[in-house]
Amino acid sequence: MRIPAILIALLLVASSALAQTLTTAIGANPPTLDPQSTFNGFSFHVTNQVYETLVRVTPEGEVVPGLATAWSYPEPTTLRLTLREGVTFHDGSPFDADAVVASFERILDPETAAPGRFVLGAITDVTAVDETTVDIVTDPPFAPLLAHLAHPVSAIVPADLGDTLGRQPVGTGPFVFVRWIDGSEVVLEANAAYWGGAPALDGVVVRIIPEVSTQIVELRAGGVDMIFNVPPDNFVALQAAGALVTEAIDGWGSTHLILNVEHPKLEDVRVRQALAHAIDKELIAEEMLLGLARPGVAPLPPTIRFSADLAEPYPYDPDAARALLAEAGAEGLSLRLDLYQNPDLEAVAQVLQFSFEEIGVSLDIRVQDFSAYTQAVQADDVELSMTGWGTVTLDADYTLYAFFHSDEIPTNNRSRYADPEIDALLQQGRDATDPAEREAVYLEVQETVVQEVPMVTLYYPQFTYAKRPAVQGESIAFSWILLDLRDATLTD
Amino acid sequence: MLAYALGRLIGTVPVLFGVTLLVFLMAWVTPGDPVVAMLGEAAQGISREALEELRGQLGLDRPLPVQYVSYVTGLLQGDLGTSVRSRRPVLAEVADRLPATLELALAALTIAVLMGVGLGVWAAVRKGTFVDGAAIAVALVGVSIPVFWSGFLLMMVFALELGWLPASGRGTWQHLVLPAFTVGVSSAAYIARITRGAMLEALGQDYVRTARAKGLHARRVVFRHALRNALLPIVTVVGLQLGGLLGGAVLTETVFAWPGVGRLLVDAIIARDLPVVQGSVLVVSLLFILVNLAVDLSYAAINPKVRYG
Repeated sequence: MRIPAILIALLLVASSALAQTLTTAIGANPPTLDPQSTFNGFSFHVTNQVYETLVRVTPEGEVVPGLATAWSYPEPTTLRLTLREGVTFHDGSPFDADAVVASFERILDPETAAPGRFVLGAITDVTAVDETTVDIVTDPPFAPLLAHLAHPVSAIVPADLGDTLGRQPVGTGPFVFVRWIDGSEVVLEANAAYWGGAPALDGVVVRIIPEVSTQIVELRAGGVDMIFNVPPDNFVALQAAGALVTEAIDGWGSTHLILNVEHPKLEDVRVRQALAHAIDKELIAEEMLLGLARPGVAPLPPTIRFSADLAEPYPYDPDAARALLAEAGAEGLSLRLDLYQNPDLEAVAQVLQFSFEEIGVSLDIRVQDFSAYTQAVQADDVELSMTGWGTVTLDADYTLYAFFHSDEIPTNNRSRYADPEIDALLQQGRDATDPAEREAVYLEVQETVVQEVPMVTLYYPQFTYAKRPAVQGESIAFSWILLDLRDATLTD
Repeated sequence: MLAYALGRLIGTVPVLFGVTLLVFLMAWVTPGDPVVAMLGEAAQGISREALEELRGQLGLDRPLPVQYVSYVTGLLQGDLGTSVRSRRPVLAEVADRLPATLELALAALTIAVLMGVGLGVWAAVRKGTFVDGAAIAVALVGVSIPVFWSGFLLMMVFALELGWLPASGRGTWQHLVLPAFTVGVSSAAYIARITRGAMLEALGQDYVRTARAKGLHARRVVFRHALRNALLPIVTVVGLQLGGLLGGAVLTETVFAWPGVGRLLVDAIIARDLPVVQGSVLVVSLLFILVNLAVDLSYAAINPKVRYG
């Protein structure tokens, strides 16, 4: 009679061990698990559990230690980082200055063809000062560097493992890679030797479930514990149903209507102001997106360092819009709006079409796939375009430089906005290492462009996730990609 | 017959090259940049120089016809190329997904044949009765319902409400049940309609009347005499269904998170990963051709009047 008792005990142990494995669902198979050979969010969602960066950015926007414990600028061109001691990669090889140098050399090497190399493009040299000190040189100075080092592509990889990292990732992070069944799931287990202490979870299973409705059924049935990027209508339904926990968090994203200021139809600032006056941003955020977005003004979401808190210069006012159009002699205007396949953007485009109709402007909407759209909006005849954007480095420079510096026409500066003073300010923002100076610079840039209307920032979408109540202690800032499960627990 | 089969197999080579040319031409006329497609929305901050550099590093700056020639040259040496996105050999990418596709296709086909032929024969035998009408209605509904809807319905009932089966994913035989039924039922509907028609024709033939006149058991008449003679169109439609299933039941794979070739292909198309698109289409086409060949060869076995060579 003793054997069954032992069996029951074993079963209990087995089931409690099982319960400590957290299962998440993501929408597509990660192309690779080597953070240096991709720029894919599904990849980063997994690589962020396995690999680590030198610094991290907190939900409050503060840069805090990661694999580096301290840093300083001996010269404006040189960032000196002190590395954490006693850290090893999952394969047992040491994490030290040589490893950091090799990791940066690999991503900067043209042979690697790293899609994310542009994030670190300002780096001109990386050298080991001693075993635990590394100098990163950017010549000319590049003030946003520290923030860029927190981006997932900047994760430190054991470079000698090379291309095998794609299928067999090895990092220093809280979870160790176990297996990846293509198109099905990635299995990770806790890193018992993690420098920050072993995570409470025994492991993480990232399941690949392309269809949101299936993800929701799995969440309700208990097949997964957490899902991300729940569309607004599903989110509200889940919220109403109770039983599960829903979270909406301000992220790094923003959604913009871009106006080509070079185009004859849009070169008159009064026409651009009229279009801005015609848009009811509250309606879009509250009704279309069911409150899961905040109406926008500044080109940067408020979560981003140096974003400006500006008053709306062109509030919703169709009468003012009509008057401006009449003044500019632009009645009966017809415009084309380019966008790419995305349910939220397509819905918002419909609202814009209706809003512009109200002021006598007809809007022709052209939806294409993302790469065809990108090609179209870089052509000179583009009129209006819409885009979702992420300030993925969490520094104002990333977005403001791309949107408004004349060097970026037409790749990222699709409004063709060119102003030598703004160019100079944006350069100053890169050169100045004093945060107060940078803040002043970026405030001026944002104030100016909001007045000139090369773009209308429509809203800042929140990112959403839903989980079973048993999941506690997870931390997500800015994006679902940056899920931090080091302190997460599963209580049932 | 062996010579015939060999001839057909050799004939597949130009067909497969035609397939690669077609895929290539479609890629050529589609607007948009594969590098931008690969980077996606999150990488919009990349500068033009960095983008051009990356294009060169990935070998995507060469004109498409040059890329095609180098692809075909590799193909002749048995090299299916390398995925732009994952940087893995395309053969490995497809090989990882093929077992899931084969498993689902065969399970679905088994369900489809059992249900389809059974329903079709039953309806034909009871022609004009309630059973016949009901069977036609079931088949019509089966053909008309999108798998997207029926799949979710099955999932809601058997996974969420009853909790008998897992909702999605692949692993145990339980995972296979819902997707196989979803695809199988829809294929069964086609097979049932063809079976009913072929059976009605066969049941009206003189030899069936003769067999009945001899006093043979009704079941024997139906299955031995009528069904055997009605098999040709049934086998043809079953072959077509199998060919379609091997091409990846994309919607079903998506609904049930089933890691098959269909999803690989769709992901590759969205990301403009041309080598993977080429490779998956090539493998799927080859399977389709082989199934067709098997169907053709089976005609001789079913009907001795058919001769090859």
